[in-house]
Amino acid sequence: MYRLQHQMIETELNNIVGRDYVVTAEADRLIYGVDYFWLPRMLVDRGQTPPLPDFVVRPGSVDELAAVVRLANQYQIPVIPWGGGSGSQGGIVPVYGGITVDLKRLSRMIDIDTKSQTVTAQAGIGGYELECALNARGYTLPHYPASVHAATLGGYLAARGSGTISTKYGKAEDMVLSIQVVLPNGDVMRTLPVPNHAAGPGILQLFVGAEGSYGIITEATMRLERLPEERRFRSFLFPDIHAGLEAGRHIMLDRLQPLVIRLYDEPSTIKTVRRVLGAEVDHGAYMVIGFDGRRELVDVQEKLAFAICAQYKAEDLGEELGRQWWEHRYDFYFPPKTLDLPWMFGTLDTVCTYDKLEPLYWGKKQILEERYKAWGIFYYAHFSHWFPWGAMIYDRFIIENPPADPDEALALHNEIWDEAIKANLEYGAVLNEHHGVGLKLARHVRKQFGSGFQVLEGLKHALDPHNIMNPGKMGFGPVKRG
Amino acid sequence: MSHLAAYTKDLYELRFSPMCKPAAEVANLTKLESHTTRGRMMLLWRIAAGMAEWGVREAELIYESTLDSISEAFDVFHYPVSQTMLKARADIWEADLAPAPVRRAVEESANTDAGAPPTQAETLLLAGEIAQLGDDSLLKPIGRALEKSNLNAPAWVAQTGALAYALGAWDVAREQAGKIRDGLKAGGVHIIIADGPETAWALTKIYPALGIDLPEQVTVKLLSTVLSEGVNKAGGVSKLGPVMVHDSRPACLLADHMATNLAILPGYLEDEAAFGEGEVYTAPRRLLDALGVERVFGAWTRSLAKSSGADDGLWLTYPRLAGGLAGQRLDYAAQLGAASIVTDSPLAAAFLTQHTPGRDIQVKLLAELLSA
Repeated sequence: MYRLQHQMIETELNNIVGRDYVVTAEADRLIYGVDYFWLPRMLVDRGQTPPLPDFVVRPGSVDELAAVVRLANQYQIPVIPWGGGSGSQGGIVPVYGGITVDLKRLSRMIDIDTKSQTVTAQAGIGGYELECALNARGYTLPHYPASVHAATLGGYLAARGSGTISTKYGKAEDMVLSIQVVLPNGDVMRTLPVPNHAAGPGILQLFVGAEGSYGIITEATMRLERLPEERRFRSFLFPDIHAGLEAGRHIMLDRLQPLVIRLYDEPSTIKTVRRVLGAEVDHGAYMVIGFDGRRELVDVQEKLAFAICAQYKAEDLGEELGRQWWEHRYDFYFPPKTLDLPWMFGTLDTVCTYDKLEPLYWGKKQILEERYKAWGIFYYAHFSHWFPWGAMIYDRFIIENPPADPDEALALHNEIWDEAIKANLEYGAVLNEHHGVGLKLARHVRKQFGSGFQVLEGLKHALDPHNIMNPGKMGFGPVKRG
Repeated sequence: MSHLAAYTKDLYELRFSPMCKPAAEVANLTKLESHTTRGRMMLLWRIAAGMAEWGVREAELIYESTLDSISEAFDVFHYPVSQTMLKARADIWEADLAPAPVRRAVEESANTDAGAPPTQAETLLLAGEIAQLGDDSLLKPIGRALEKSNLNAPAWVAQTGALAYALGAWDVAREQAGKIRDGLKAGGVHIIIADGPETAWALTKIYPALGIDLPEQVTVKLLSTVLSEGVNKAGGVSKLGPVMVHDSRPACLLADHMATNLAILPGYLEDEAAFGEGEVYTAPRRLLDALGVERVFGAWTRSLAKSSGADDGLWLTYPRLAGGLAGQRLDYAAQLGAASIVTDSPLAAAFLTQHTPGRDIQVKLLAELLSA
């Protein structure tokens, strides 16, 4: 960006939000180039500077945000929304520079409707802060992602996130009733007040999961639940992954409404569970299952579900390990337990119907383990986020000694991802289940949707003709000038 | 070699972790990501690893904060965040790159005359926090409370070096600590009552770190401990209404244990001990319980207590940020249903009180409850 142009834009941004809320120093901007995606972290690790925004702006109102977007349109420069910066897909990476809008000043809790059991809050409110405030009133937003301490409400929706207890309560997109959005031309719109209707197409879900490509979510009304009277966990050891998957499927198809089912494959059972939980298991597939709600219902649900587990020859390990997992469930995401450089790693999570689940798991495992054997790839998975029609595979790869050269490392990283995504799509799954697309998977979106991509592209062209909104993501290219 | 270099491995492991964000006191005020622990740890790692150098803004970012012991407490594995901040500040100070407000605060502290200690006092009240305040009006209620506990402890109002140490000026801190040591030796003191947690932190943690040995016979006690030992029902307590205890940030560095994994679970409020354990936390609560005071607490208590703004010199260096923190702390107490904040820290009591106008909440120093 030319110096004079930079100065002009900075002056105009200062006029919109105030000088205190525009930052340009590199010391401040650096963190806005790094989320939880391996790539920008790797670049920092190797002494490089990831792509940074030219400006970081913190609007204090929706009107200010709309004015910033209008300004960006005028100058045809990118606008990248920033919530908690905890995404793992590079959704915030300012590939082409521009203005990163940090939404955390838009963090008011606007209303709790106790009759309808909903909360309306601004998008920049932190997940932890929101949940604590709701808990104090006897409610919960039953979306407990690993990133709850860092992510924002807007981020939950922008990436169609899942939380630990989504098996019973659904994903973020299932909890949202309506949203307010700043469109790429600066107009402010609201979706219909309810999500279920026959009043025309559902515009709501076009913005949910769009990662800022069609506009910036500024407010949302979400469904709440009352804090449960009872919440219990139990763990089982199945003889193998097949038995565990069949038991889980059976429980879901019987509509027993487990809060959570986490089924670990054998490498995870042996390596991760024993190491982290100190549980003495050396074979099979470990499952944690939980139920919550009214005590009488939980009694019945547990009885029926445990009988199904027994039918598949599971060993009942009792309540303690499940409880331990629940109480320590965030430990895994704090260093030193969380995955970090210098390793190369990636979470390949995807979702498919039950008939494709096991073939996909074994197929992808075989492809990655065979093809990257020389790199000592470690592939492991667990199955969480279950639906009445299928489940998510939360699979990961780790390479402990990747190439030192950043370009070589990135090439290997992208190649592994290409193979994994190819397998996902060939086996009838999708790009991702709950982390989003971001920069990481943008190049695969067109292929995933096939001719359906023209719908996304047509909408993009109509809403954002200059492609200023988070360019480089979602299969859309750079800013179109002129 | 820089002081920070010794923490390169910790910084390496912490540099990308966003998990402490709820505890980010200043970032939660400014909403600026570079004020988060992650932002600072990434910056510090790059400097420690030789990938970046200190610049004006880099130095400012390290001072636009407390020592961030709250993130250390919030982190499940308690990485030494406050140590990295201390070492970074020492490097900045030694390189003569400290921002102007920091230099001013240190100079003013260094120019304060410690005066002579009371002579031949078996027990002495070391009023380090009150010295930093530059206003000894809180000495009176402390004196009356000690009298009611039948304790004769003359006060010595003197800079302990805690402020200079927290701001990285270890040369100044060492000099101030040396004066305290010499005064204690000359006075034949056996028991030092620390006027607040920061003074106790200076005597028990900072002095050993600076290589300053207190006279062998000296025992350091917290004022809250001393008062809780001699507590009787006192007047004025019924006017307090529900009370939120405010723990200052130095208390975290005196605690036996910081928060456990339970404390970071959203909404967890079952056992206050999960938020930190140690005499520094139990003594004021023991006293309040003995007085029959109704206490309320939320997740930001004990080792997770957010700053009043008066910690680690912030109120002197960046008063606007510190004032914002004070406002947040007062509003938080009101949200919990507290009518009063009670604290064992004179610094916190005075600074929070400055920000009560316009708010329906009062602030009391613990000793004031016993001085009526």
